[in-house]
Amino acid sequence: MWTFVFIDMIIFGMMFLSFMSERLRHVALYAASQLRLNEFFGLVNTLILLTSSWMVVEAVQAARRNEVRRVRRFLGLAWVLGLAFAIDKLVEYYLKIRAGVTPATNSFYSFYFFITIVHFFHVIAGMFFIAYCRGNARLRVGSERYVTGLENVGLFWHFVDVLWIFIFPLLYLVGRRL
Amino acid sequence: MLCGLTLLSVSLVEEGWHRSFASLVIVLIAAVKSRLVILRYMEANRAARHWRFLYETWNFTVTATIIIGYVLSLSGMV
Repeated sequence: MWTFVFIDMIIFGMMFLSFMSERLRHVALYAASQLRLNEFFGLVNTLILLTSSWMVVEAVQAARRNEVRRVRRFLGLAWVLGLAFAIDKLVEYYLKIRAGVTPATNSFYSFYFFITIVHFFHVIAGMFFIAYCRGNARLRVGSERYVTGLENVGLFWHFVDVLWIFIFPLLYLVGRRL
Repeated sequence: MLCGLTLLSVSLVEEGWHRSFASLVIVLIAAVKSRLVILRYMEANRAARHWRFLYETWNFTVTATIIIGYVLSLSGMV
């Protein structure tokens, strides 16, 4: 899992590099487009993902102690927070598209939609893995294989969190003019 | 602490700090948050040493990419 996550990190790193490179060519356009993003959607999503990551940390520690109920509770909370992130993002997309902003509007929004949608798919995948681990917790907590599997799911979920930690300032905050 | 750092980032923009300075501090805050998640949540500090090195290098590289890109856009060097 460390290898898979690292390869994915490199891919996102290339996206960030492409974004910054394109931003250099159209500084005024990117600044104007950024102003049309609502940073509070990004802020709420950051807080949601950080809290969700914390829940997964608690679930992994509970699994190591063989505490089934706590594993299920914390994974359930992590999943609900993942769902909250997804809903928040979908509302933001809906408002943007309703306002006539699409990936074809300009290159800033092409990057905005591409980076956040790829990240969104990672969130959905992570939620699937979390739900799978929660579903199997009653039968399999206590086995070394389950703990290793949950640690790997945790690694992936924290990686999704790390990506958003950079995506939020990159798209919403850096260079923002009020 | 991670949530506090996030709120600090947004407050730098909202409070009208000098835009260039605020942007650099925001990226550095993101780097600190990311490093904390990598070391504490991902437990890279307990993983094989090469993984910690690679993940920390990624964190540094992404931070440097954003900062250098932003500074170049300010100075109009392109």
